Amino acid sequence: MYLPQFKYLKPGTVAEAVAMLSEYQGGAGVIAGGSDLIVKLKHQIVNLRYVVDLKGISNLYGIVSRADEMEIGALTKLSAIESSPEILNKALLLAQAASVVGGPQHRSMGTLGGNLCLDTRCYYFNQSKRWRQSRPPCYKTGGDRCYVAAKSPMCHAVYSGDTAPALIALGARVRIVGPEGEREQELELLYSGNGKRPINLDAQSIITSVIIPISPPYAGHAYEKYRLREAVDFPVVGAAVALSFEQPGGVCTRARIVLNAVGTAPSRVEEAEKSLLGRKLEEALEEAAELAYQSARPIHRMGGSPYYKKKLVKVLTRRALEKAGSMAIGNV
Amino acid sequence: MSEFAILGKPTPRVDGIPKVTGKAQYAADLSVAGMLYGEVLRSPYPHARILSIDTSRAERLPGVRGVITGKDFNGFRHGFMAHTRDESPLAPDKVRFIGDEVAAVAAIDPDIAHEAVELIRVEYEQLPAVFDPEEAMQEGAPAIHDHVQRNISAEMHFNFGDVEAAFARADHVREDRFYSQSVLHGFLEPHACIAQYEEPGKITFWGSKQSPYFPYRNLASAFKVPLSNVRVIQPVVGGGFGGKNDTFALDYAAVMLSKKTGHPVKFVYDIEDVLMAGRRRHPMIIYMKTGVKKDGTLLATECRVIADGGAYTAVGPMTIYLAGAFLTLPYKLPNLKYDAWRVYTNKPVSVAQRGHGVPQTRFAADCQLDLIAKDLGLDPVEIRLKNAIEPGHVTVNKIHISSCGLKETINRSTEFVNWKERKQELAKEREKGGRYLRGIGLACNGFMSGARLHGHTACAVVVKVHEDGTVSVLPGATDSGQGAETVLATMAAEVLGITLEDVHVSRVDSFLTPVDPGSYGSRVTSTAGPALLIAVGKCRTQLAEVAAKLLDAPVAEIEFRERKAFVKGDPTKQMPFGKLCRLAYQYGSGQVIIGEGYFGQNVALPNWDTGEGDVANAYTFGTQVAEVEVDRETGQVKLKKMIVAHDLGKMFNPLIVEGQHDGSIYGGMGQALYEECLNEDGLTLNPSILDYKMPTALDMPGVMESINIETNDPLGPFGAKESAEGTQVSTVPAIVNAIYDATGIMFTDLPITPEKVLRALEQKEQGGGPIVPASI
Repeated sequence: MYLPQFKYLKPGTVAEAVAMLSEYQGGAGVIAGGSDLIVKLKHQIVNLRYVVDLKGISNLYGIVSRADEMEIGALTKLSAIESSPEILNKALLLAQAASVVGGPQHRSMGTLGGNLCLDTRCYYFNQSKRWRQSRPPCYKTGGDRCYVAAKSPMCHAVYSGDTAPALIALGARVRIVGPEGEREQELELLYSGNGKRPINLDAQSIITSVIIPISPPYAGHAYEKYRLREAVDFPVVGAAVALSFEQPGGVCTRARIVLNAVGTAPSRVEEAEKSLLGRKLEEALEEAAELAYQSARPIHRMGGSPYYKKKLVKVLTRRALEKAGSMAIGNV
Repeated sequence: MSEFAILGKPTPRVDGIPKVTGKAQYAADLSVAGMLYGEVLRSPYPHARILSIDTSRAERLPGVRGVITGKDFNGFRHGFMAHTRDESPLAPDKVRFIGDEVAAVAAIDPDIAHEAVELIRVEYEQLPAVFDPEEAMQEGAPAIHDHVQRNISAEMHFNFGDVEAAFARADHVREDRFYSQSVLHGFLEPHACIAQYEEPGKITFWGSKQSPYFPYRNLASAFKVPLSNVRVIQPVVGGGFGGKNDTFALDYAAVMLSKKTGHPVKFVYDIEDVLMAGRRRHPMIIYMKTGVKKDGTLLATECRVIADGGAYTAVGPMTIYLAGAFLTLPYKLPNLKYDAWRVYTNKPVSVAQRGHGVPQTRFAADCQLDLIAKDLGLDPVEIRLKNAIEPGHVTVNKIHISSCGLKETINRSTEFVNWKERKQELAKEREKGGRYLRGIGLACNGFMSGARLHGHTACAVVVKVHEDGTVSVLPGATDSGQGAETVLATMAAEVLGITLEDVHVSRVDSFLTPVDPGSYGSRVTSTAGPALLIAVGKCRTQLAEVAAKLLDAPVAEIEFRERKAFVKGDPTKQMPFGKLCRLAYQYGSGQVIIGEGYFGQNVALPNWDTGEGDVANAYTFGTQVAEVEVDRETGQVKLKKMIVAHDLGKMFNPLIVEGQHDGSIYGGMGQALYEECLNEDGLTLNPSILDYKMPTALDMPGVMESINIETNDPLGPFGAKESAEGTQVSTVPAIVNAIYDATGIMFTDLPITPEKVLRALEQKEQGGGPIVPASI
C-alpha cells in the first residue's frame, strides 16, 4: 500500500503550525510520530492535501516539574515517558500505560499527544479503500449505517489509547493552542463519545502539553490492560485506577476508575468511584468492581463479545483496585 | 568423538549473516533495467458474473503501458491434475471470492499503476454466494463452478478392514465432532516477482517461490513456449510453509504484461493481499468415531471430513488424501473408514500448509484419544505407548514403516517433564484454587519424510569442484528459509573433508540447475540429500583416483578430511585439498571435476482411489508435551512449556533442528490459541497483522526443549529423515490436551479463544458437560 500524495509542511513554532492549519482548513492534518496517521493515509480513511509535521517545534518536547504538577510536552515520545525517572517517580501510572502501548517500535515513534488523539478503531473502518469497496460505507467512512450494530443510529468504533485512561484517572489537563490562543481543559473533555468524531479538537488547534497534578500522599494507582498478545495489541479492555487514602490502610478519599476500550471514549465509572469514598478498600472493592461491570455497555465485538468484555471489566477493575491499594500501602 | 567433522554440530547457517544484516536480496529488492510496475484489480464481491470490463480510462492514463484481463489468457486454466484445472490467471467470466483477480496493469511507477487499477470499470452481476461448506454441499446451493454438482471439488473414500465389525466387538466406542479453523501460512515476505518476456517466446522470471519449478511448468503451458525457454531464477525466499508453491495471478500477469509492453514487469503484493485473498490452511469439520478395547487398544476409526476448499481446487485433493491416509499413523489402527469431501465456498483458496492436512485430523484423533483414555481410566501416556507403531509395521492402508522411534520419543519427552509427578503436582495445585489452572498434555505424530504423491518427484543435484578446492552445489531444490542450503553444504563438505566456507550452494536457476518437484512435503534433506550424495560421491571418486596416483596408494585407501587428502594409516602421505584439485585439473590430459546425481524414490505411487500405499520413502515420528496456564478469570491460556521429541533419523545440525521445532511450536500455538481468518460474508475482517493474531516472540513459552532421537533410516542420507513439518502435526493436540488436563474441558473448536474458555469454565461450574461442542 502506498501513501497518497500530499504536501509536507514543517512549521518551526506552534503559532506557525496553527496558522498553517487555519490556512489550509479542511485539507490539513498534523503528524507527530505518525504511527496512527500513516496507516490511515495509506488506507485512505483520511485524505489530506497538507500534512503539518510538528516534530520541528522544539518546545513541544520535554518534561517540566513544578511543586504541585508536572507538564509533559505533547511530542514527548512514549518510549521516553516509560523510562523517564521523573515520570516513574511522580506519575508512575502514566509510565505504566505508556509502556504497554503497541510494541517497542510504536513507542519509539509514537508521542504522548498522538496517543491521546488516537482515533477510534473498528474492523469496518481501519481497512484499505479496496477492502471497503465490498460494501456500502459505514457512518465513520461517510455512510449511513453501522456494521457493528445494524439498527444503531450512531458509530460504535472503539477508543483504545492506553495513556488517556491513565491520565484521566490522574486528573490530568491538556493545554491546547488554536487561532483564539491558548487554553487549558480537563483531558476527560477531549473525548466526545461520538465514535465518528471521537476527539473534541477543531482542525486548527493542537495539543501542546499535558499537565498532571502530583498525587497526594497515600495514593496508589494501576492500569490493567488485557490483550491477547504480550505486545502490539490494543486493549480488549483496560481499566485505570487512581486512589488516595486518608492514611495507610485508612478510608478512601479520592477514587477514579476509568475504563478503556469498552466504548467510543475512555469512560469514568462514577458510581463505582463514589462507592469507594469514605470506605476501606477491602470492604468496598467487590462492590466497586460489580458497579463497573454493571455500568459497562460494550457493543463492539473486536476481541470478544460484549458479554465477555463486561466480564473483563469486572476482573480488570478488581485487579487494578487491588494493585492500587497495595501500592498506596507501599507508599507510606 | 564424532565420526563427522561438521554433521551433527551446532553450525550457524550459511545464509544467516546476509539475512540478519539485511543484505539478502528478496524478490521485492530486485530490479531490472526498464522495469514497469504492476498492480492487480481484485473482485469486491464474493460471487459475481463479469458482464463487461472497460479498461479504456486506465489505458489512457499517462504512464500506463499495458492493461490485461482474463481474456488475454485465451482460456488457459491451471491446477494440479488434468481434471482439477479450474483456476484462471485472471478471472475471465466469473469471480468466486472477494479478492479474486480480475485485471492487471503495468505502469512506469507504482502510484500510476495503483491509480490505473482504480480506473478500470467492471460491470458485475452479483450472484448468491455460499460460505459454509456444509451448506454449500446441499442440493440447491449456489453453484460456484457451473458444472460441479453440490460444489464438491474433490472427494476421497477409503475403507480398510471392517470398521462395523470392529465397533461391534469394541468395549467402548465414542464419536466426537471437531473443527479446525482457517489460518494463514504466516510467511512475512508477501508474494513478489519480476518477469521479462523476450521474443521469440523467451521468459525470465524472478519470483518468491518455494517450488520454482511449478511456475517453470505453468508458465511454459500458459504461454505455449518450450520449457527450455523458461528461465526461473529464485531470489532469497522469506518463508513459504506451503503457501508459495502455486503460480499466482501476479506471476502470470507479470509475464503477460511484459509480453504486451516489451518491458520487464514487477509485482509486489502487500500483506493485505496475502491476508485478504491469499491461500490458507483447509478448515475442516471432522466427525471422528473410534472404538477401543477396555485396555485402550485401538480397534477402528471411522472419520468423516468436510473440508472448506474456498473458490478453487489447487492442491486440495492431496490435502484430503493425506488427512485420511495418515490416520493410521502414529498408532496401530487395524480398521479405518474415511470419507472426505472438499467443498467449494466463496472464500479464498485453501491449500497445503506445514503438515499438509495431517494436523487437522491428528488434532481430532489425538484429542479424542485423551477423551477415550479418560473414559477408560487410563493415563494418556499409557494409551499412546500401548498403541504406538514400531519399526517394521505395515499399516492397514499399506504404509510401510522402516525406522521408527515413536516409543522413545514418548518416553524421553515425558521423562523430561517427570510426567506422572508433574501431573499429580498440578492437579493438587488446582485443588488449592487460585488464579491459574495449570495442566499438562501430550500428543504424537507420524509424517512423511519426502512426499511421493503425484507425477515427477525425483530430485537432482550437480556438484562442481573448482581447481582451488572450493565447491559449487547446484541443486534443483529450494531453500525457502528452512535451512536447506546449510544442510546441502554440510553434506558436501562432510564427504569431501572440507569446510562449510568452501561450499557454495546456488539457488534455483532453471537454466542451470536440474529440474526438481519443489520444496514441499519435507523433501529437501530426504530426497535432494541422496541426490547430492551421489553427485558429490562422483567428484570424490574422481579426486580419489588422482590422489591415489599422486600419493602412490590404492584408491580405496584415500581419505578426505581437514581440507586434505590422506592415505589411510600413513600420515606422511597427504596433500592439501586445494592442491589436489589444481593438480587434478592438470593431470594427464586434464580433468574437470564434476558430478551429478538424481534420486528417484523407490516407492510406487499411492492409489488415489483406494487410499492405499506409501506416500514417502520414510516416515518420522514424534511426541510433544505441553504445559499450559489458564487464567480462571479471563480465560486466557498461555503455553508455558513445550517439549518436542522427534525421530529425525540423524541429526545434521542441532541449531537448525531447534529452529524448526520452535517454528512448529509457534505455528501450532498460533493455530491452537491465537489465529483465525475471520470471515464475514466472504470478507476477511482481519487482513492485517495487527488484527490477525500471529503470536509475538513474547508469547512463546519460556521452556522449549528439542529432544532428537536418531534411528538411522536405511534410505535417508546419513540415515536422516525430516525434522520440520512433521513436528507441527502434534503441536495443536498437545496444547488442547494440556488445557483438558487443566480445566477438565476438551475444546474441540479451534482456536481456543479466552472467551470460549471463560464461557466453558462458567458452564462447567453450572454443571455443564465436559466437552465444548464444536461450533463454527
